[in-house]
Amino acid sequence: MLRMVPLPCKCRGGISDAPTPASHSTCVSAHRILPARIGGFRVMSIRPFLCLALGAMAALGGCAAAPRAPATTLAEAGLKATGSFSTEVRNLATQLREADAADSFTRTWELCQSPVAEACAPSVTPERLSIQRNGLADVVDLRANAIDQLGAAYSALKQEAAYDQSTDLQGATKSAIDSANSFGQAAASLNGGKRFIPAVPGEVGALLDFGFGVLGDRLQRKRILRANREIAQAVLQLRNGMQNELEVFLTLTDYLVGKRTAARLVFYDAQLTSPMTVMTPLADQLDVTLVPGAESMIANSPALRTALRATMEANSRVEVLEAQGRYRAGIAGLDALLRQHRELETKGGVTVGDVERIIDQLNASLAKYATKQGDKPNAQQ
Amino acid sequence: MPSSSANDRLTVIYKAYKSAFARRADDLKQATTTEQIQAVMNNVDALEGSYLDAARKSLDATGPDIEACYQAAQSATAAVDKAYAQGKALAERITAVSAVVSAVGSLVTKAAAVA
Repeated sequence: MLRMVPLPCKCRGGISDAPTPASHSTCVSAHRILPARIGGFRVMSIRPFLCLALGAMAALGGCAAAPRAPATTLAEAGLKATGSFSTEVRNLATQLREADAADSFTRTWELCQSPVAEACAPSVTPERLSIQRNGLADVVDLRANAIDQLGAAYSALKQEAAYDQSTDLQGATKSAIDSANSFGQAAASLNGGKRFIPAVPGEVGALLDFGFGVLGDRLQRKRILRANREIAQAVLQLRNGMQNELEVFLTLTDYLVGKRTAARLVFYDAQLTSPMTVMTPLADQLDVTLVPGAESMIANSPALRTALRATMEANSRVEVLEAQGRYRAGIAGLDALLRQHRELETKGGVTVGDVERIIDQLNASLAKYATKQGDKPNAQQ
Repeated sequence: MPSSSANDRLTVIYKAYKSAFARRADDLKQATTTEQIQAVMNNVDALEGSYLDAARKSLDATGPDIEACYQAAQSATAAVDKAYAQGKALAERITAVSAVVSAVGSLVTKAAAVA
């Protein structure tokens, strides 16, 4: 059998997906072919065939090696960004679905504050509104699904990039093809079922089985760069869609925080919650120490209770701004990913620092939100 | 006259709901009949329904009738703000909010129609 020892491929002109004519290829030697015997013939006798094959391979995919490391880095950043953004959007859908309970509580309390005695009766959110909220939640979930599908495409890209053609050819041939195909499926789902990338043709798979590592490397490079462009296209589509709907999402966050704040104020007015949940963070923020017995002082002071109520309303404004900031950070994360897709395309390298910074901020805000909700954040850390 | 954008329309609809929701508790405290209570609740629910409808649909149809609806919604909302600022009686405020409900409803229906 042929033993193939991969050597660095020396090329001019950087990484390009444009086919390089075999006659102009500057590839010095992709592999050193060591003598061996197949059926009594020295394999060196097939060298002319291999030269032709290598030339054809260069024409197929250019000369440079597959940009596996930067593609992996980009794919990981993409997974993080889509994971965090998806979490934020799904939170919104969940809150829409769960709004009825707090809403019914608030409206009934308000009715019972009326001087008209017969007004005090349980008042559940009208079914029509409940159906509308659930319908809107379904639409919001569709956006989260699109983000998740983009995450699946990054996952397939990561798998493709993780496949080391030169060191694990035989064992990984199948997984490389599966990876390319699975990306095709993931990309197709981003494009309404229309395929972005054809599956790896059977005859190419057969060639890989024969150990044409250099061909596999070219094909992998071609696949990665093509995947880079097609994922970037999907990111752009998603980013533009989310940007177009920005105003809807901004009002929705305000709407939901408004509902929650109204219910919290009822809890507060009815003295079902301790004023210290508001007072203690305020004292911390002002760097002052509360005296012992502060809680009973607040309970007996209408002025203090009114002042704390104002603080609660101010806090809800901050909550709205934070939620809106997370949505904007999600879009900024997609923008940052787009820049890195461009870098991979033009320079063959990526610097995902800005993606990481934006996503870290988003995750920190999500973690804070989850803590407030008594839940664990499910964003990827 | 500059034409309104889909976001302008969504904003006026959302603000109309938000204001009515924020005023609901005080309005109910001032209500003296079950009819007034029902009217206050119906107005807020109708505005909330219009907002949820608007959030789901794209309010990007264009035309002079849509601009007229947008202007009517803005004027009706301003009239409500004025009524509250001037401390008008609840009955008068309810009537003013009902006018916003009608104006906003028309805006959503027409602006969401396929051009």
